[in-house]
Amino acid sequence: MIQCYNPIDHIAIMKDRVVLLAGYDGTIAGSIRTLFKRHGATIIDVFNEKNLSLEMLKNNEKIDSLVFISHPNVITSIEKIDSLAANSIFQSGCLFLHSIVKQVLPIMKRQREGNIVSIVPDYAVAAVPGVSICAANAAASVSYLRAVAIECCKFGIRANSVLTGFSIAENGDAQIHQLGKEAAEDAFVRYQPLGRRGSCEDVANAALFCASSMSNSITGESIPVNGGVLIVGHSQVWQPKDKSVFSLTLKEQRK
Amino acid sequence: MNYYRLLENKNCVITSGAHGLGYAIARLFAEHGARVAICGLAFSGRESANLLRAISPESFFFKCDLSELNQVDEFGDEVLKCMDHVDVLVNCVGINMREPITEINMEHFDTIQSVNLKAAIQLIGKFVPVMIEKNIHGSIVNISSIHSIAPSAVTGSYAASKGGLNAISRVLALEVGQYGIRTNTLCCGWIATTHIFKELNAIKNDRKKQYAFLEQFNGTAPCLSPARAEDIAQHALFLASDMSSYITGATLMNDGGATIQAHYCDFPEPDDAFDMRRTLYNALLDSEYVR
Repeated sequence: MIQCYNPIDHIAIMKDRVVLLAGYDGTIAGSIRTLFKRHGATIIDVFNEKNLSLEMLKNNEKIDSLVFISHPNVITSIEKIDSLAANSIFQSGCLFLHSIVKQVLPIMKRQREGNIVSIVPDYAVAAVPGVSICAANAAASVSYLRAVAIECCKFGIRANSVLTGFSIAENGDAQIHQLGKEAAEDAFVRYQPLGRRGSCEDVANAALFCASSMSNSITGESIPVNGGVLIVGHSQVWQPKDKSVFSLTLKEQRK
Repeated sequence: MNYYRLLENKNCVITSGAHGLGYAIARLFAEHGARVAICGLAFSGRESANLLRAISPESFFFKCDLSELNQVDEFGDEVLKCMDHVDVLVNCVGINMREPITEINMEHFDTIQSVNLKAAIQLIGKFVPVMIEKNIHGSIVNISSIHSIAPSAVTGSYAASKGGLNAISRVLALEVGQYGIRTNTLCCGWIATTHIFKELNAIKNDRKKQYAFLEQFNGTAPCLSPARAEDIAQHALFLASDMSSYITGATLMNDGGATIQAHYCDFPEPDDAFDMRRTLYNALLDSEYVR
């Protein structure tokens, strides 16, 4: 039965909902599991393709949501990535997402309801050096979910992405490891308008929003949970030391 | 975080919150524990405020023409007098005049910019300095439109004002992020708003006519039915509350997938799409906001 526009019970927003949690079992997955359980969801973990069998899915009469978490970065230059490593990134990323979506869609279509959430780094939509294949994989996941959204929306199925910032979870840890604590924290403050490191709970809250009926009329959307880093343009990188460099009044400019 | 009461004891201002979408947002915010201030020209403003006070006793309405800068200024002062500070500002007002760009009446253009854009900037200028002074980690939610991203013909003045609102929102995010203040834009697609409610209300005794009216919009978005005011309100609640504490400068669409279509593509519908659509239409028509 289609379930839209019912008043939302904030006491247990995911009550009696069955959620498939898949992809990378890291700290973000941990936060999502905790938050969704707190809101009454039943969680099924599928962190390995071997876990994923049609039998297992058939035993579950319903699957309300699929939340897929992308693997952390592999930071290396383009020349150093061999095709084997590239293939492995796609296998555990977009292709794994596709293999799960393919199996849950018939169940969701039968229910005439369901939603799919993919958690990927925000370099899916903006360039970052050193993550070329990971970025291609993340961008592929976002585009793939848009196609799912268009193809399945008339069955009451929604698909959205959550774009995570570079300071969050394992990717943020990698920054600290690579740059050192002080330099990494300086980067977190300088390049993110909110000026702090993001947390896994921030991502979990966005996933809860996407997976629940709070986002009833949203599909194919990408929600950036990154402290505003994507809107930082040239201004944050280039700041004039002497602010009086721009001193012409409006009247003077119009002369 | 208390998910039962996401805006407990927060002071929220919603422009044009007396009816339609603004009222749906004001009501949901009140249900989540907020003190709500609404403004607008609507005669129903005091009645809406009475309904809000039944949920959140300190809520109030201020009659204000948002096209008049001095009235917006007065409204801002009144809010600060009654509430001390503002935690959440929702710029929800939107007026539209359908004119081809070559025939735009500049008076209409100025009025649209005043209401849709200037009033928002003026209220931001009123409330944000107080947020900074009092160390309030506030949130500003600008209700924009699909026309700011994917416009249609004869909506030039409106699209310009909403596009401006998107840009202002991003610049503000850069300017005040360091103080923990967030600002985001919510772009609505075709939604059941006050104008549509009035049309539906005029034919309220004829459900078939109402269906026919709604069917006209079928195909404007991939989803089966337009969003309801309540759906947009839920999205605004997410952006206003700590659920989105690491989201700023974002321009988020709430359009049933309308802007993700590369081009028109008639994908097969399920067999029971007609029934599903009717279920959704009934839910929309039975909404208290239509009556």
